[in-house]
Amino acid sequence: MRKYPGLITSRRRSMFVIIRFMTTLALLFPFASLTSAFAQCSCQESTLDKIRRVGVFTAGVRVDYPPLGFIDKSGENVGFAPDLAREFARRLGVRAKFVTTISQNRIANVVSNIIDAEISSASITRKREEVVDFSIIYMWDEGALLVRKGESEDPHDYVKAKGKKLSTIQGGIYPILFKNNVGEGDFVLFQEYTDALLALINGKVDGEVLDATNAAAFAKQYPDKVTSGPPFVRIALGITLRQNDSKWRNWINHTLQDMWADGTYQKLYEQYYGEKPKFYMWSPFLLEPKG
Amino acid sequence: MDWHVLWEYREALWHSFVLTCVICALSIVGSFVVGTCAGCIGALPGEVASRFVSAYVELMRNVPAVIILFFLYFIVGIDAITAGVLGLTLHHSAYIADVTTAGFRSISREQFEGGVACGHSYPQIFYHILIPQEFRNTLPSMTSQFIGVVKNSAVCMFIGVEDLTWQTQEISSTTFRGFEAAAAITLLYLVISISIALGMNALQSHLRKSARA
Repeated sequence: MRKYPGLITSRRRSMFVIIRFMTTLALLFPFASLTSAFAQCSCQESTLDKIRRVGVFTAGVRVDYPPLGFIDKSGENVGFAPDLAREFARRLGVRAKFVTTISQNRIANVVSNIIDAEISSASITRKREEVVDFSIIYMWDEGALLVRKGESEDPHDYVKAKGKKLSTIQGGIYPILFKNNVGEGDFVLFQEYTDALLALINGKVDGEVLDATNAAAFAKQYPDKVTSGPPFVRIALGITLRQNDSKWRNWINHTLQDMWADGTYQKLYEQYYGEKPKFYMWSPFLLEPKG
Repeated sequence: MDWHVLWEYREALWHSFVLTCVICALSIVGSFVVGTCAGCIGALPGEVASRFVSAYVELMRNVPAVIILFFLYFIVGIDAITAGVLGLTLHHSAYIADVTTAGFRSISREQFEGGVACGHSYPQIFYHILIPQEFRNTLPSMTSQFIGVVKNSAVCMFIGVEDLTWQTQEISSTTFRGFEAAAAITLLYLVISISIALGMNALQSHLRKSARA
């Protein structure tokens, strides 16, 4: 059969596929470099000045983490963290805007300036401090195990050696904390705590590892299905901020202490946790001197 | 940028790549078989069969793949990888059934009637006469559907399957090297998709040569 110049043969089609692939690669890297450079350049202005300029404080909060952050029936962000963000916005004289974050994207969201601060369950760790900064410890929590009703509440009964499976979220530090404080665990990692809870209720896993306050909230929501065991580790939570933005970090730290001094923090905490905080802001002796 | 982090995670990346390939291969084969069977049933004479297939296609096509996966994993109780393969198979078989039905419409009705006149059974007519022609005509559309399976396999991460997308999240959240992780996984997905495209091109070329011979 004669080959016509314009005929698309199989060999030509394969060549087109390979050429498209190489073109995609060639376009990907310059674009990524520009994006990376843009993200770095935009940190020249302090986040505090930017918020005052645009009139909006964008806070990253969770929606799967009662009572720290969740959605009410009308779709509003509610919880201790969103209310804290609203108080920050009020003191800044701007409005608050919320962006849903999960453990996997919270650091990326802060680094990329998608959010101004992430107020949720981020534990302060040295590894995370290599890429972001944290406020002073704004809350203490504990790690606990959520199990099905009627089963053992001792975390040591759920180690990998005993053939048990545990669930938690991807991007969290609970696999490491569980290993350091209890023993090696066999974890199935989900995207949100509610998915991990569903896996526990439906028998896909034997326990869920999460913050004690969140575990208590789930146990209260499903009293005939799950129960919360005793905490096995303490964790220090910080507000995640962009690195090397000391003006913004100082404002957050000072405002947290001001809220503690005038009782606003304690009032919000008691509203969602049902008790006064059992920890101190900045230190058990005094707040940071203003002079 | 620190590309060295990809070398540190090479074993995890390889494990996820193999798992993704296995899930995609099983889902592609499953959706092709189920979709072709559904298309054949829909092409049978009579309204009952075609309405049944239409209902199946509308249900599976209009429900997002992640919802099907959640239903199979959390409600039915199947394990994660099986739920992933079955969910992708059910979702994409609906599209392939549609493509198959369109392929049958491109074949003249006389082919079917000739087979009946020669005394062949319906399975014989489909297997020996209609499907070979329909498959040749719908190869480009099938290629798109198969590549769609590869892209949609990312939803398996929502039920805890440690596939390539899950691994991107893991590397990103552990090392904070999101761009490097995403670049590596993009390349790996492209390898799978382009392999499918090249394979289908080769098959199309082979079928064309066979048709001429």
